Amino acid sequence: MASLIKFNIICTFGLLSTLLATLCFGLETPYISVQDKERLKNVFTVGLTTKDAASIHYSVLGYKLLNQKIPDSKEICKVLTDSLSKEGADTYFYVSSTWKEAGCPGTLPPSISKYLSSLLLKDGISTSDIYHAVEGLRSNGQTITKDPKIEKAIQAAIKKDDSVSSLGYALHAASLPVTDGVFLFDRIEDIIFQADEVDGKYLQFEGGLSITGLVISGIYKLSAKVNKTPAISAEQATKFSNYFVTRKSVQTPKGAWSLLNVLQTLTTNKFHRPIVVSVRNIDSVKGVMSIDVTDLLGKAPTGSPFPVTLDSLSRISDNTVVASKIKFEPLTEKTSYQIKFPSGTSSGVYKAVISVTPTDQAIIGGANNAIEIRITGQLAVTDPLLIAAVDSDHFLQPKYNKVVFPEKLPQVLEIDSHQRLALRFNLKEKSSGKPIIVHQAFVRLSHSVTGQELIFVSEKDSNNGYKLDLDIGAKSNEFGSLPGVYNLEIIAGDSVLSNSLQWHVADAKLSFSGDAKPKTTQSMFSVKPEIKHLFREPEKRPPVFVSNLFTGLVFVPLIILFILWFKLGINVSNFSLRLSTLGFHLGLGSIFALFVCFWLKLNMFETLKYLLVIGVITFLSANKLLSSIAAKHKS
Amino acid sequence: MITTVLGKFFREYSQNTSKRLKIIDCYLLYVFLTGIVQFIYCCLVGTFPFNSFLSGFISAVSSFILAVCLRLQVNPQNKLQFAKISPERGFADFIVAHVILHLVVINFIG
Repeated sequence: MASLIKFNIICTFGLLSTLLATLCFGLETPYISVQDKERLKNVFTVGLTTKDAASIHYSVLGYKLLNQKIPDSKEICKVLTDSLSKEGADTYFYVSSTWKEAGCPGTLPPSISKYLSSLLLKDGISTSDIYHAVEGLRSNGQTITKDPKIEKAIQAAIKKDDSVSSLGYALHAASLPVTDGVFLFDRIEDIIFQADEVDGKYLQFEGGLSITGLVISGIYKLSAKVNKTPAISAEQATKFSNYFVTRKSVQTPKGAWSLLNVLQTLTTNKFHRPIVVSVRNIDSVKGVMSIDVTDLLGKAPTGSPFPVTLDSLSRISDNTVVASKIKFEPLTEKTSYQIKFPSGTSSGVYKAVISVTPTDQAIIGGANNAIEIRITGQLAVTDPLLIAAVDSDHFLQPKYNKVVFPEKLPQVLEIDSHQRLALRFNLKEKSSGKPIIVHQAFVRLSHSVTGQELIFVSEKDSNNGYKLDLDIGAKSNEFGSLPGVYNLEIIAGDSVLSNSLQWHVADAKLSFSGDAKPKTTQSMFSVKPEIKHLFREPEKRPPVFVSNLFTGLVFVPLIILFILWFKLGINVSNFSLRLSTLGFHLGLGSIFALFVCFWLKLNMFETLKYLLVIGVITFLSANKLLSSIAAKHKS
Repeated sequence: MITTVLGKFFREYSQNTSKRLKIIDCYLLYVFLTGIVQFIYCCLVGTFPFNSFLSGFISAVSSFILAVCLRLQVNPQNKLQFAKISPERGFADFIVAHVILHLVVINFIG
């Protein structure tokens, strides 16, 4: 009983995880879906528990964008108050702008406003400091009025630092009431020009999501203030929004807030509001496809429903257009539309080009949305399968046994090693009745006792059917010559088929000529044999006689040397028994003796140690000896 | 013809060469013959073990070269070129070079 429950739990768990996997990966929407929002909320929830003012700031604002209530404001207010000890425009901005949003009681100390006001009077401050200071003052309840000094400060700051992030903060600062913003509006085209294009589909700024989000939201904020369409084409805006949506798996509070904030801007501004088309469901049996047309946050764009058409539906494998210019019908849900495929649309992978034509010019990204879709079919076996054991040297048409799906051959098919197993079968699509070629069509032979199995790929034959000719004798090695009854199954499947096939066709009794030998399968994870270093094999040495002969021969020239020297009348009359003479000769002799020791047993370091000692003695005595000889010569 | 040339050459050599140089020449002949014996061995039997053959043969060749250098420096006819090098200094150099050479040779001989 317990094991049964355990089994059930495992099954349920398995099912759940499959379901989760489908939710997470199967439905990758081109907008921020409910699941994505939930995930981003979790990022903010983690961010709220940190002790970092910036993370708390972004998390609180993120909660607000998601219309969520802040759970524990007391703890947050404490962290915010603590972080005030660190002076700085950005910290003060984070605290001031979060204070009210988080619902903290009381007001912040006036020293903050004093600090921010004095900061604005300084020369050479950066655009981010200007933005943080002005916005911080505004959050603290100060009224902000037009101030030409601040406009000058922004201009000076972007002259000093014209990086994208500096310009991004300048855009936000210029959108505040301190300037009229016109001076920066003309630079938007330059800023957009600095964006990098990726794959022809995405536009982004160097620095990633936060910087791109900062710049794009700043541009639309400034354009709204100036009330002029910014110098961004609809295509560029679509590419930026494509980039933002790809970054929805972001894990930091700052990134998550940047993403939500910029998408909020891109769904509510009055200049460019991109829309996306996504497949909701394809019912291959009824031949019906439903799609969603939403804004980037998954809501119905204003003015929905729009006229939506399927411009073309073409099969990817052979580029045939099977349908064109079909109108979608709007469903009751404002975002959803539905279409019926023309009858006779076979299963396969298709490219659907869908166009949405809204009346509002500000809604962009509706034209020519290409989506890959899969129309699935069903597999059927209508013709009987043919199976036979054929003699290898027999080339006439064999006598086949017929098996009808889903039955099994009643008798056991006996095949010996001189015979072939021949199989012929057809796979058809259920609705059209046409033969189809599937990705995978296997024949599995599994031993009824040991469970040992072999899988063979069945080949296509000339008239769109499948065949398998298996020479049992030639394959006896793979079978391990294990005789017995094998279950013969056909397994077929394809990614565009909603069902798969596993059909136990027959039992085949195989017999082999050789003895059964268990297959030696070496486990991948077992211990491998130890690798030992292999020295070079010594070659064959010459006979001892030859070696000795040459050893002797080497000494012959030495004897010749002594004979010749003797003939020349060499003498040691100059040899005097002085310390230097003795030292030199003994030293030199012991150096060579040391070399012999080195050859026989010492190593290089020991040798050098001894050589140093002997060498010094020899050198000194040799110096003395030779200079005395030289002096004698001169005199 | 050749015998007369050789005979004259040998006479000239015996008379005009100093005893010191003759000693060095004998040494040269000895080293040369040792090298030849090693070479014959390697032609007949093979070079295995190669490092031993190589160090032995190189030892012979280098000793020959060092001895030739010594002979050049000691020869009174070359006094002008080696004015600053006395025969004793040459001999000391010869010894030092030999010590270093054979340290390497023994290290390599295996």
